[in-house]
Amino acid sequence: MKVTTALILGFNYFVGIYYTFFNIIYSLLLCISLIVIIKYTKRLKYAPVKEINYSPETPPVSILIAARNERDVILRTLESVFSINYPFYDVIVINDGSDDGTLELLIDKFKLKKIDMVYRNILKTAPVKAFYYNRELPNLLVVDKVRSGKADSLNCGINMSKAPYICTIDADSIVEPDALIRLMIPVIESPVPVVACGGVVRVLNGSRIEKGIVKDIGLPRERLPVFQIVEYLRAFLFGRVGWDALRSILILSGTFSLFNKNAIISAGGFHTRHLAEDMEIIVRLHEYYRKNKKPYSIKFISDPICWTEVPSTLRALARQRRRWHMGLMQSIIEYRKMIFNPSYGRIGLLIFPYYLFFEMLGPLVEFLGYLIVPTSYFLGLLNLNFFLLFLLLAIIYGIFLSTTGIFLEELTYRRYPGWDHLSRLLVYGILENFGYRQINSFFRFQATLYYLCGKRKWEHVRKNV
Amino acid sequence: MIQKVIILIVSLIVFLILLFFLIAVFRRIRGARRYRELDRIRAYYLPILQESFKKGDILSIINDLISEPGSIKFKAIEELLFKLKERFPEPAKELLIRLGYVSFYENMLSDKNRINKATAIDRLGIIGLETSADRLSQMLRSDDREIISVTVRALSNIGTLEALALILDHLPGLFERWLITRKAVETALLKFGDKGTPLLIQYGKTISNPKIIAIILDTLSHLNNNQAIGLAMDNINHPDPEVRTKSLKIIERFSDLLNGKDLEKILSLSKDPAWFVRLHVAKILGKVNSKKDVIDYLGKLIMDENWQVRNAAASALSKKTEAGLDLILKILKGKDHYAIESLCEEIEKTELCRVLIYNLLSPDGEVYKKSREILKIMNNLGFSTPIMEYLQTGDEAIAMELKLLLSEKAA
Repeated sequence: MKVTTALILGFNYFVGIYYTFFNIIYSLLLCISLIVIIKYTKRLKYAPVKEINYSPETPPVSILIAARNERDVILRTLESVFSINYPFYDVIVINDGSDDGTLELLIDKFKLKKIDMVYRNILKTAPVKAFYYNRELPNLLVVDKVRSGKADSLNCGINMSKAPYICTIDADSIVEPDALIRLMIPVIESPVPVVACGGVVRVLNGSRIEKGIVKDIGLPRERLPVFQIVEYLRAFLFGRVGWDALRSILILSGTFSLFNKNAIISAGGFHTRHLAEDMEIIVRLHEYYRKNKKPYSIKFISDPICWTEVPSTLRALARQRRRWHMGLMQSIIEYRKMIFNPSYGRIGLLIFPYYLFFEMLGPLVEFLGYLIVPTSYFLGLLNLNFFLLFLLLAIIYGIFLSTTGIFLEELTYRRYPGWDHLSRLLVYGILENFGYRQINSFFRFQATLYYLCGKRKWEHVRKNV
Repeated sequence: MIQKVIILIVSLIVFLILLFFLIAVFRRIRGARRYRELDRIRAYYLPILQESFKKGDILSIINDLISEPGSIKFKAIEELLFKLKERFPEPAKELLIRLGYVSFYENMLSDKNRINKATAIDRLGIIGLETSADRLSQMLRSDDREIISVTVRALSNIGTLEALALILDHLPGLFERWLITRKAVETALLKFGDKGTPLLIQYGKTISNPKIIAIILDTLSHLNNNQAIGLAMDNINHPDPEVRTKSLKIIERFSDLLNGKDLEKILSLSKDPAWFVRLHVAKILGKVNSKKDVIDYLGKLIMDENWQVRNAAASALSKKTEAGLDLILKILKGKDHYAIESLCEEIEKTELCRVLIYNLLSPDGEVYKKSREILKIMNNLGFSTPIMEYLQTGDEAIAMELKLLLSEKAA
């Protein structure tokens, strides 16, 4: 009994310390992001967007869109991609064995014809069945291949790309017209080679699209996507901005990121066995460049925007979050040699331990906390006042973090202009801490169990369009 | 004690949430007012400015336009003048001087805040006064990359030869101190356009830093002035491979001006150790006349060890139409699969495929025979889509020939 009591008490202390550390890190990130993002928005006034758009020196980019059963959204995405402002780009759609008529739709819409092309397997991929092309639309190529997953499809796109840079865009996303050019600015202006650069992903649900451009930004009627808007604002505007300021970016969203093609090829391409290929490639790029002692930089920029559909049902959300968390676990476990390894610099000493202790193990601690802390109280091991105060602190700090993302948005880009937008987002920012956060933790905890049981598979997320 | 600390932290957090909320609300209200006022002023003054610019009379409106620097009116008038500057450059510039914008931003150049300084540099660049170039060039002595990039861009917006000379004067120092990237310089230099060519050529002749010569050559390769070809030919055997490549890039652009001697020099680079130099040689050979030695060199480049060179040579060869038939046939009958596939792909992508199909009605027996053989080999290798397409929509006589060709394969 004494041992159990000691263990429970010990766990309570651990939760306290863990929680304090976690919040200190978040508070620091918040302070850094606040300074960085406000300065950045001021700098936008003199960003060389126009110069880059009209310069023949702007590097060509291949936009890669891996599409599996995207019949309902692919045309909208292509319409958006074809309306971007960028001087030299081509679009490669990789049809990953769709069986819903995605390929037929593309052939019909763009009057594509089969063309015989040589496929060079620089990055080994599943077999390619055919290529489709229209001479009148020379910057579009559709590759039809055997189903093999997103990572393999992207590798196939890399094999076909002739540009020095590739930009990955999800087949259900809308890119803002200047997004690619803004993503290219650090690549052009940085004296250190930028091997990857990511932009912000925002929630498309509830917004009105016209000719591939988001015209009216709105909030969806369903509750779940609004919670995700609050979550995305927090994750992108102060999570990633803060880590970028510390030159420690470990994740760029595969929904919208720019990569140096040679860097990706040198690192071996996207990993086909990984559930979060976007995180894995960034970790691998860090590993490759640090190991080979080559100068490099991985950037996150807060203003190039890509809008994407988010799950509007709990079932779809669960699938998405489980996949993300299992992907994160896969990457951390596979590259565990980098943890606390000084030869990987701040990646090994700062960001990797953070991801291990707070992102990967966080749901486990949180979930156990929900069980053990109340048990401690019922066993009389915890003072009621202290317990309630601690709970209050946890909730208030959670609300603070949620609302700060919204305030950062208000101070900077203010994409949600209506008063009703602001008030609704703030209400959801508060409500997020009473259920949504716990549900998310549960999905991540579930993912941990799935991972440990070896149930690691890609769970397809069907989104409402 | 701990409980008191927690209560204090909770209170502080609640206070911060409320503070952020109030700031957000205040900023929204202030922003809405500000934008309403900006819109009102812009809507009021736009027709007045347009009218006076059209009449060529700006003096009569100056008093009405004067405002406190930093005020909403100051901002609104500035935006209007920047907008009208494209249509009425001189009167807009004149007003920007008289209303104190230039002196306001010139004073801001000594601001210690980097963002304010960069904003001032950027605005002076947009105003585009020749007299600002000297003041701006002083900013090139800074050690701040951001300031340097914005200054180079601002000078390129001013666009005078003096501004170009100022950038060029500072280039070696900037590169030595890693203060600017190549792409940023190239983008800026291009904005000077063709008028900058003589100065760039002159500068290119005096500079010894290969990195800078490469930038100058690359910039010239995008401009339309063929005087650059002299500098390119001078650097064609430069020890730095990048300089050789950029020289070839200019030559490629003006390939119709090449004489026999120049071509010989270029052909000698087909054995260059750097693959990207050989790649540009292949590209040039695709554009020059189809003499036998050119075709022969392309034949060698199509077997190059580097795939990019082989692709470029295949593409160049596909442009040679009838003159290259012998070589195409020779390659297609060879054993280098990569070269064969590259060539088939290029033939299919370009007009040559159509030429080969039409050649099936050629009265010239040799041309007919070679074209037919090439198509037959392509078909056997799976490059048959153009043939199939032609069969559906094309001329009947040719379609008959193609059917015969397909049946031979089946046999």
